[in-house]
Amino acid sequence: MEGGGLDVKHCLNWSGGVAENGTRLVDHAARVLREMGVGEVFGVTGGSVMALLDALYLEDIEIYMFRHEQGAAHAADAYGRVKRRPGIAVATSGPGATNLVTGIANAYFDSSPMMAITGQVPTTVFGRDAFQETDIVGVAAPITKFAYQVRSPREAGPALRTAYRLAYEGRPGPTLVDLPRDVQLARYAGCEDTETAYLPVDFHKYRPPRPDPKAVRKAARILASSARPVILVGNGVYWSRAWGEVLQLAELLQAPVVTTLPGKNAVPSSHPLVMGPAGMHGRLEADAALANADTILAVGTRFSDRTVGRFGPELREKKIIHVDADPSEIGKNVEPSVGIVADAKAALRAILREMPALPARDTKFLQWLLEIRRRYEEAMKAWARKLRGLAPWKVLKALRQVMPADTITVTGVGSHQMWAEQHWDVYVPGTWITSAGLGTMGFCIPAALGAKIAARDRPVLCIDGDGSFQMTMNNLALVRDYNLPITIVIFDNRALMLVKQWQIYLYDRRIVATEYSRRPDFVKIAEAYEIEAVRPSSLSEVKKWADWSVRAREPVIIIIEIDNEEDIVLPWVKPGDWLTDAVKPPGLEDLDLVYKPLAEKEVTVHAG
Amino acid sequence: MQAETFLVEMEAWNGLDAVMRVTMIARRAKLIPRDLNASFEPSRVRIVLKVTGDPRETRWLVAKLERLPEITSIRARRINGDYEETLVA
Repeated sequence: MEGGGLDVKHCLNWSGGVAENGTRLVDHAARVLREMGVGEVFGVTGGSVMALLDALYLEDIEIYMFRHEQGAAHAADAYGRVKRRPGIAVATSGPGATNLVTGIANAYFDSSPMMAITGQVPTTVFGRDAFQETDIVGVAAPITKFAYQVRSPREAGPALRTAYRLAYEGRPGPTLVDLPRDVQLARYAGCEDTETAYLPVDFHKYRPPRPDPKAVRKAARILASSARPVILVGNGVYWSRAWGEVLQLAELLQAPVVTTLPGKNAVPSSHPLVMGPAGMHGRLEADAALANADTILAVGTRFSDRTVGRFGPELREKKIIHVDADPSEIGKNVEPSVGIVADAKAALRAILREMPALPARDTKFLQWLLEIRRRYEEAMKAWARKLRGLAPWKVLKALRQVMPADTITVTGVGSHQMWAEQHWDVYVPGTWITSAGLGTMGFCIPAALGAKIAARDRPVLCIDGDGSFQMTMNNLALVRDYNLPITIVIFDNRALMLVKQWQIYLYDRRIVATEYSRRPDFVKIAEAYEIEAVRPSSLSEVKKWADWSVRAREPVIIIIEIDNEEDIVLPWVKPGDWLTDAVKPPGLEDLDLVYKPLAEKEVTVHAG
Repeated sequence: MQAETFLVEMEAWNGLDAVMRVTMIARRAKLIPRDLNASFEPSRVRIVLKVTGDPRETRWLVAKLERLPEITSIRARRINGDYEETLVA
């Protein structure tokens, strides 16, 4: 193979024929996976991957049979986020492999460690449009950290080890290994002694360098001299386990902490300086904090347009200190005053060491933000009283009261996700799993199953919407098949509500292809999968059923009926608008999100 | 920002797949491609990409390409007389 990484002389014993169990390449592959600590895989079998699954079975690796490959990929993604090591999704060639693609892309855009293993048609018919042939390496290349097709038995072990390691080394991400059927069934005995451990990848380059001392000193100077520094936290802080350093620096500076949607996973919402997520459907106090900061210390985030609204002049006026493990993120969307390529924890520790003694900090900005929070919460209470049914945010707060602090909370994608972004409190870092970058409807059920498999001793809550739920609900079969008692809440507005919201505000209320019929009946769907389902009419009933599910370790589907004329998610920063232009909830029309230091004395302070 | 022309020179492994990965990233950069050349040896591929555009965008492209597991070395040179600049070491 020209330009290949390995000297791919075939093993002497590779006859190309079918080998006996134990001596097949797939038996070796299963042993490699076992050696790496893989105990379970998620997938759907098929003609081009059944040999691998046969070998995994013989190696006592548990196979979770998902009902669609997309579900297997989401499960592997969530498993990886909980375990901090790759989950494995397995699929056959052709449609099996392409069904994985959405899940792989989801993991890519949320920087999640997972590895896909796909079966492939025999090498003898490559490129001849054989039955169920797809060039999955070509398809997956732009949405994977690494994608590799094994063409010789000798490459399989190195390829699997390399892909597994690359999935978690540095910034996590999905990888893919494609195994042709004839290679899987080839005789392998005799190759192991000459096999290299890895493909020729320089893993070292994925380890973030030590923070540049000069940049660190400059960052510390800027932060110390800032009047309104704000720390923007992305999920890189979770992967670096740097929440302690973030909070320490925030306390030193008396700086508000704002998160991205996935970054909600990285700091406890209960800390008084944590303002919550900012952005398109962020919290008002977080939007106000970010918009009025004179310096933003952004850690482990790509500066998504979803978080900052737009990359306009407002952002360019601020001093930006950008810390990220991935050098390609620095300056990608926002040109920083200081860019630090480093692990978040190492960089924050270095900045803390360089921070000079600070005089007592002026807390007027913080008090102003807390006043916004107070008014925001009051307005949401008043709004809830006017709704015909249960207010989604009240349901979330009721659930939070009964779900244990370490509950792993997973969301689907839609209006329910945005309500959860704004109103679900994450107490323990690492317990918030959502599809942020790709925004993949259908994520919740399979991801919740993957999270439960990764942490069977902890409660798992799936906050879903009816549209998102219907996209992957077939995977509910696994709840009883593998005893995975998850608690599911469906916000059922029978609409693709976030799109309908745009239609109402941005398309002159032309409601096109966003309203669903009442079919199917979710209670009957639950019955079909032998899961309890309820339609509570009060918050106390919501709490009762959620509490029962956790205590009895029984799955439940709690269906919250919501009027889709009323389910408008506010605040909302319309696409292309700046954060201070957010459409606010009713009763807050007079609330100005632009901080005016000269008028501070006029602000009524409610620091609680 | 004035447009400038750069040569991005890479060494990689994994044959045509490496070239595919490079082009998949390069096509997303806001740069004008001028030339692309790849030569293959048994265990190495040399890829040279010539682009015109904003130096910051070129810097992003080089940083993104450097992240590819297939890339073993990368260097970018501004085509401007004798002047050379290594954008990513």
